[in-house]
Amino acid sequence: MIHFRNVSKIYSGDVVALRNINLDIQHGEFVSIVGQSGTGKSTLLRLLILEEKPSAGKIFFREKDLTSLGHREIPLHRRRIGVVFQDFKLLNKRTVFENTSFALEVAGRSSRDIRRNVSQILEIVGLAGKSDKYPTQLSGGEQQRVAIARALVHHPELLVADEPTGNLDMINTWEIMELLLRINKLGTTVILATHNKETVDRINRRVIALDKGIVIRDQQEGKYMI
Amino acid sequence: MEWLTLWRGIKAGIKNFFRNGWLSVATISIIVLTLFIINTVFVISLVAKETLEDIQSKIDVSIYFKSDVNETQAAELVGLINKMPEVKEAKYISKDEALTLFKEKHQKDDVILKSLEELGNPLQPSVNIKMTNPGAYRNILSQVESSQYGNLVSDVDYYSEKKPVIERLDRIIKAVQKTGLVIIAIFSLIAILVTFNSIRLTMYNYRREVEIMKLVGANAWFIRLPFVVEGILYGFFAAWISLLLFYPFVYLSAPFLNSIAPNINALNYLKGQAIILLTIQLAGGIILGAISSLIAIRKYLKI
Repeated sequence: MIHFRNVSKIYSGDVVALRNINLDIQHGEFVSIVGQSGTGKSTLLRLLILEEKPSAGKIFFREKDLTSLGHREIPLHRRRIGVVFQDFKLLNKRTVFENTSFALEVAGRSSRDIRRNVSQILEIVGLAGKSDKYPTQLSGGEQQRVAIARALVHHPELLVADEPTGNLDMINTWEIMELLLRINKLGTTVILATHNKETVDRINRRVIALDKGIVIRDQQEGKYMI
Repeated sequence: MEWLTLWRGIKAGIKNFFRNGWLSVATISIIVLTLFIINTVFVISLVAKETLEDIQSKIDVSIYFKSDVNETQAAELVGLINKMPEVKEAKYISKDEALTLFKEKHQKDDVILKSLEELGNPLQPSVNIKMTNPGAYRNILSQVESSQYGNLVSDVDYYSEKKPVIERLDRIIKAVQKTGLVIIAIFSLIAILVTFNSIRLTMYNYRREVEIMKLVGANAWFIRLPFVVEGILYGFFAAWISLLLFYPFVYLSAPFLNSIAPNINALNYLKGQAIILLTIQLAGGIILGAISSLIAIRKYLKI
């Protein structure tokens, strides 16, 4: 589903974030990308959602070369992916419902369609009774669930999560991880960037370890080792 | 762009406008202030121009005929002049009429009246011309002089007496108009910059929203539209408010304006032009708001 071919990303001032990355991720996989801060995990994800373009190499998503997408195609590409961040990126002036429906409005879906999909996804992430609450009225774990709901409401093929549990305590972290695993079970490919050793070790899925912009290990049923 | 996106964009723009209450009020106030100044300058330059033109219209030019001219020839020339498009009025004054007028003018001056009795009538018949456009005198005169009646003319008071005055007035009127335009242009520029800046401020408030919109795959128009709508609303309200303030202002300053220019009723003039003025300001405000928004958001739309 996703192929990185000799991908490098060099920021201005010769800061190398990624060096010659080759990766293949299949449909339905749950992949954890691990490594210390500044090793290029986030850059890798940003390349996937086209917030950045690689300095060299090519990235394929469903056989399509992402590096050749034009301005108009980028929004369409992003609608096929859901993204979750450490800081949730919710709009505090909008309710849980509005935060979630955002992703569907953008795609020009009808109001009826939106209502149906949003209640469905809020049910899945366990926020069914809280659709009229504002993010500030929710706990950190609940806020991240809203972000996950927004990332999933349009049924993307791929969910990209950048340190989604970075701001959460142990219990919430594990609940979010269970949610991600369930989503993966329902057929969505998940790519998770994290430096939380415990969770990675516990879920026993594929682990890709990065160090200084290079893939140093890629194991099925891997552990967090750098 | 689909209708649904358009509708949602307009809705979001109106929502943002009211949600940003204070920022909206501040932006509109500043645009109102600039529009108000533009309107004031417009009225001042209008009054000045009308006053000067009023003075200018009082200036006339006389063509004096040779004493032996016969009445039919003179009447023909007056007819010819009257047919010229720029001429407001051309009036023939015969030798006798000229004498009557002269006597009236100097009725208290015994010396002159007495000398007239001795001299008989030394005055020449003339034609008195008033023009709509004082700049055209030279043109008319040269036409008369080169026509078949040219040899009837003995003298024209234009070159020696009237020309410098007419030309000076003409220069002043043009200068007033030009200054008014320059001031209006400067304040229009200020209005543009202020609106632009306020919208950029709003945009800064919304950068997070824009970021998330992009993240979930909003296309450029979906993101832009609410801001463009917001900018349009700024212009719309500012145009109305500035005019609603301006009319009472002109009304209150009417006595003052009348003392400078008794012939011009600025308030009446503005009443007559109300719809045009409103249309111009609405159109200007709306276009200004929309364009400022479009430019201001460009920065945040880069991927």
